[in-house]
Amino acid sequence: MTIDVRFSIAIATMAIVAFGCRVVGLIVGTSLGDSPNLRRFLDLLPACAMGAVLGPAMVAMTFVQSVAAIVSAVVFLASGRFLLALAVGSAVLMCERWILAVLM
Amino acid sequence: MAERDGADSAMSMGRSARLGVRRATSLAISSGLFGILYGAACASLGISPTLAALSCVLVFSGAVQFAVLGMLAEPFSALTVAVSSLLICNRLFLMGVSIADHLRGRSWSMRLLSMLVLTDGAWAATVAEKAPVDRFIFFVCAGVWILVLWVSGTLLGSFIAGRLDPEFIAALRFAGVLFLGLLLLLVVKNSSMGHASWIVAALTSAGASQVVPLPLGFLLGVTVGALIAWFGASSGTAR
Repeated sequence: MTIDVRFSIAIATMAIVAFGCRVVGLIVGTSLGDSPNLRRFLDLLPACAMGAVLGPAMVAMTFVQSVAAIVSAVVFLASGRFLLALAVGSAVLMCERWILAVLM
Repeated sequence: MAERDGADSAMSMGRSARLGVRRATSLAISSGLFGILYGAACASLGISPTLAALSCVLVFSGAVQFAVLGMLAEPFSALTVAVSSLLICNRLFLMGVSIADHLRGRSWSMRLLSMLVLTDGAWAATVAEKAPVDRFIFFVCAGVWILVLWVSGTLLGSFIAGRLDPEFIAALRFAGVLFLGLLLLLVVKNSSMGHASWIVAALTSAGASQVVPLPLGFLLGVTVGALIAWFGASSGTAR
């Protein structure tokens, strides 16, 4: 099997799973009631999932990655600019070589 | 929930569309940059730019797409791809549940079609938006704009892969974590969401992943976070 064939099968599989998850979520979300407390709860769930993805990544961070995360969070909270925060954090990551050289 | 209904929104469809594009621009540019990395990764495996771009259009989930690139070697297993995709995509399920209320008032066919552009960025932008927009139009335009730059970035990455410094690519891999973290901050900063649930979810997942497999740690984190969210939402004190 060539890489293109394998990747085509993978695309079809991913597409079915990804679209299926979205649609099932939409159906479940629509069929649930619309009480404010329930909606508030449902809005919190994806944030919990994001937090659960980030948790293990935070534990495994290197020093420079930690600095990048803190710097980008501070820039975002101070300026409210998403792209600026990401750019600054990424710049810290790309300067890893020099940051470590200065610290060592 | 009336303010979420497109029919009751004060802003016209055109203005809602423009605002959706504007609000999603920084997210779309970020996605475009990750698209370059994805395109370069595809090219390094010998995948054609057309297929790389097609995967972006049909899947539109960077986390799954990046993960599956590591599963293409022989012996290839579509089942492994399916199970892994399912584990990673549960976030999309939760976003589907959350976004459903924002899309009420539209036909089912429109809502189902709009699911093609449901991704972290479009969800975050829609949930965080406070203006009285037509939320369906806002969401779709934000999603399409992110998709356009994600595909464009992928194509660009496929073509310039040979010119990218491997150290540059390695360094920017962690930028995906930064992106997700900033998305989370965007949502919790601009909405009335509390902080306790996602912080507890992160801490639980981090702790559990030290002793159990990562997917199980993730599920534990989400479950505990959901319990905190449920009791917080019920008491109206989710902060």
